Amino acid sequence: MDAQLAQYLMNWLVLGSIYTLVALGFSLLFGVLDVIHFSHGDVSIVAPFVVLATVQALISTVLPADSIAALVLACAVAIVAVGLVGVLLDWLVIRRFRNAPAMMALVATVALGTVVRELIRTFYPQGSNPKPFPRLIESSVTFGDLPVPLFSLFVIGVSVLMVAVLFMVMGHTRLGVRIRAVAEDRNIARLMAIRPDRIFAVTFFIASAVGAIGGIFFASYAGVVRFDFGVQLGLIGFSAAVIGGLGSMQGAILGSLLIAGIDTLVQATMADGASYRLVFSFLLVILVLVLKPSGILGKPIMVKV
Amino acid sequence: MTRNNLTRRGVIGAFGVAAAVALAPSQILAQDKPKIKLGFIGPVSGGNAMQGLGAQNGFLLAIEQANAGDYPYQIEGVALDDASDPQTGVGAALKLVNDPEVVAAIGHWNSPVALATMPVFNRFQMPLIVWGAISPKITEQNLPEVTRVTPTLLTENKPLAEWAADVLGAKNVAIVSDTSDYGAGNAGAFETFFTEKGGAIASTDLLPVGTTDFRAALTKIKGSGADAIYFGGVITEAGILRKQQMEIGLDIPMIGISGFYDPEFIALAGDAAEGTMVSYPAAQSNPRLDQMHADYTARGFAEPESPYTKYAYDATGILLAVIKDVGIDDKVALAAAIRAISYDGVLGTTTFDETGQTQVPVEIEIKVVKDGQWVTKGM
Amino acid sequence: MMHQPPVIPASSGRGPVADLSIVAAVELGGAVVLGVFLLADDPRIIVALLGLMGAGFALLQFRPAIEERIVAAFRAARRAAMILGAAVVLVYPFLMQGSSYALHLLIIAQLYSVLALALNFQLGSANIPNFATGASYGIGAYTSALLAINFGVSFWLTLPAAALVATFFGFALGFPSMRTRETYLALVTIAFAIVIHQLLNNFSWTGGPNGLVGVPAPVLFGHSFADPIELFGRRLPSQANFYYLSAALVALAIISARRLHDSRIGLAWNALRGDELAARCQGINVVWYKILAFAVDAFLAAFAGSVYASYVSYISPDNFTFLVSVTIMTMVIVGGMDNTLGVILGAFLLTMLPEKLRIFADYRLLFVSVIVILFLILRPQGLFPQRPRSYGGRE
Repeated sequence: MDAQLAQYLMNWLVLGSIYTLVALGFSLLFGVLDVIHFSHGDVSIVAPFVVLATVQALISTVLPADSIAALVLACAVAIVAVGLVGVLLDWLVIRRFRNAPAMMALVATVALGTVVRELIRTFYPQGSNPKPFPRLIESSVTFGDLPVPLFSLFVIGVSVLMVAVLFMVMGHTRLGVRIRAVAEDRNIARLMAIRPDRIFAVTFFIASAVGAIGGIFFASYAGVVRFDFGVQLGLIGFSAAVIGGLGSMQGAILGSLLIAGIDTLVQATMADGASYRLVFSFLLVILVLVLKPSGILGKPIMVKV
Repeated sequence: MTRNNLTRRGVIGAFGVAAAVALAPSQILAQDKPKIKLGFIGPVSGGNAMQGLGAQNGFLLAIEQANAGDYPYQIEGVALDDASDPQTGVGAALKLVNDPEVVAAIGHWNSPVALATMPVFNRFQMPLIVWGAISPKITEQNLPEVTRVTPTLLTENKPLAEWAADVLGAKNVAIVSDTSDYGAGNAGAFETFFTEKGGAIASTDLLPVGTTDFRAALTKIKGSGADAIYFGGVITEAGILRKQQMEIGLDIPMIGISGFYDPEFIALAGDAAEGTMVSYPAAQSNPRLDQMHADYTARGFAEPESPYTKYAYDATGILLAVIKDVGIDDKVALAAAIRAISYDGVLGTTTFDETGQTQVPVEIEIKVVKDGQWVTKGM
Repeated sequence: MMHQPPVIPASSGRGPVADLSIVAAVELGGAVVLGVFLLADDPRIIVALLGLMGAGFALLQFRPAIEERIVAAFRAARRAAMILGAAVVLVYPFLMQGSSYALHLLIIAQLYSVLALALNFQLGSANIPNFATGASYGIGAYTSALLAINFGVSFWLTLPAAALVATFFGFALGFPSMRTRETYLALVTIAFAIVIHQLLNNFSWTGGPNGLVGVPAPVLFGHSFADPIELFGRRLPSQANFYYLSAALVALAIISARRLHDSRIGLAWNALRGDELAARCQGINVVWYKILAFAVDAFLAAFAGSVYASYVSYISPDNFTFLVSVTIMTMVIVGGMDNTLGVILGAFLLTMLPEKLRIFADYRLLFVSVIVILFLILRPQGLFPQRPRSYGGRE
């Protein structure tokens, strides 16, 4: 029973970590740009495809098969590439909705998500089919008599590290100060010789790159990736960011852990829980927002008189 | 128009209208034969595209082979997308029945889409052979125009459940599936037959479509002392489930019906696939099927075969055979002839019962993954 | 309905004759373009027509005077425009060469027009995002179908019953809207839509993933809607019944839209859209009007759902996914928020487009999405933007 409990806890933490990486992007983009980038999940899931393609290209040319270096290199390539994809999508589409009503950007990015998915499906070789995705780390360690995959610890560790780095960057660097300045008021930031357009591009890069790590972990944790996996990942990441409070990084973490928690809890304890896992996750979303209308850690909506 | 025969090229053609016209000459050679059209509907975009595209290629392959031979008509295949959406499917069906040149059609992987379009085909008396949707409700209605070449959930789950109880010796099976019509139907059918044989069901976990993490369900199963897992879904989820099952150290057999009998499953699950067992209709081990596999590869389609390619291929073959005998004018007679047919194809000898359901023998054989290959296991 | 670059030059003079000819040219021209588009099967014609429509919209974009002139003509010749429009709608099925495919597209387009108009009460009038219109549509369809199948209730009774049930859910969904706003409210409605879809899929009394088979067709004065219409020696396919039914529903939606727009409620919604706080200061009961918007949306959407269920005679959860709500939302935004004609146009465009883009086979979805994005970028205000309220403009 203890082993089972530990297993559930591990599942919860790993899922929560992966969702956090995606939710952080939503939160960051909303905080800085006031934009809902609904295709963020789909962009994140581009990363595992880049990894697969790069690994293939590497081992067929320079590196020997099943070399760890190929995988590590490919992940780095994918993170950077997907960061650039985010910047590109912003430049092509999303920036045109900066001053439009929030719902327009939301609808446009839903369509953009479909475009990203269908592009993967069309242009990745046999993109309709699911692709096996390797475990980043295969071995496991044993605590007592409980085997814990190193990969799970790795996911949790990297997520914690990413969160720490993001907090560092936002709180203690010049870049972070600039980002926060633009988030606060882009016009006044401009007066302070900060170019909002550059900050927007940097924000998109960071958000998409962090999302890419989430996407790679997601694929690696599932063991498989398919072009449409980004839909649910995006929806859950978005929900996590919103119930945590958009614009709050702590909120994104909290929201992710909550949603992953209810998902695991419902499946572990209810007889028919698995079929209702989405029902409970989204009822939780409704409940949280009824009680805390701007998310758990979101700034309350000010009614100025 | 050849746009539907050559999907990808057709698209490029449609970009520039001139290119679309340039594709026409292939038809000019055979102008002396009367021209007819056959319809295909399936999900060729969206999440189920792999099933739809494989079947669409089976349909096109059968038509191309007939056109290359001395078939009395020149056939054009009209392939339409239903995107797994009932409303889009109805649109596609109406498009087919409104085209006076379309004689008959094959269609659908999703049961909800099939159930939505059947009234349309019924109203317009156009024969429809279902190649993929497996809900028993489809043939329960017994519309004279509708027949089905795929086994229902009952046909394959029954012998599998009996085999699991008698040969495999499973006592306590955990059922995992998705909540789609396919998954939920399989889970229900297997549970019925397995409990009839005196087996116990340890747990039933149906997960919403799109679930990629089965660990919570698997952890519960691990604690329940189940001695086998029955999986009622399709390839992607089967691969994920098996991989994660082995990862959490739940080393019990995984069994299922032929829905994920596919090399893709082994590719997805990797080493974890070893020992997975599925039922497979024994009649399908025949030389014609091997020939179709070879032809498919030789044709060089952009997409690999799917488990449904052979069903679409035979459904098209049945339409072609009947049209050759009965002609194209009397659609009621066509539908009647389909019901009466005894067709030797890649699925074995297909005959239909009084509800239009295929009667391909239900003997199954068990396929097992061994050294990264599906091999036949002695019963 | 479909818009057509006007034949009359924009500079032509004022006067009743000019107004009448502009109205006639726009309405008949639109009907012809729509008709050709519906019946065309040749990719060349479809591509050419799409190009023509694009050119028409470009003309409107770069020469706003033309649009002004057309609007002025319609305002002046209001009655004639309505009579001619009604006549076109009535005669239209006879011109479809008996094609039930064309009629089907018209039915679906009209049902989506109703749904888009329903959402427009919220999104357009009051700027309340709602991604649950598809769920209300589904609740209406399921209520109506369950009553008809299990209890043999006549369609004409299930229609109001479905509307009542959906309105109840609309009120329920409206409650969180008391406090949440914007993106947060959008997520509440998204969550609601997903929960409803999952429940419809999981419950056994809703037929589970396989849905409900055999929803009976309505019967009116002994004439079953499943039978063809024989009129003036012409025979119309059975779809024509539902064509007229859904046309009546669109008319009802337009009239409600008009009435509500011109009432205190419409004014209150517009005030909400402008500035919620200012509206509250004016003594407008913000909470009540927000909830009312949800209820009106659900009420109309349920009508559309009932008609859909009896038309196709089969419904399943897949008909009412979250994506359906997104599509409806897109129709309103592409068409033009708070502009009745624009919203209907948006619904027609986004129903026809995916069907006609079948020529692109499995690239269909890609093209539809790209076109939607282009529309949003190039004409963010919608095909027909909302117009300022005009007082005293009517004699």
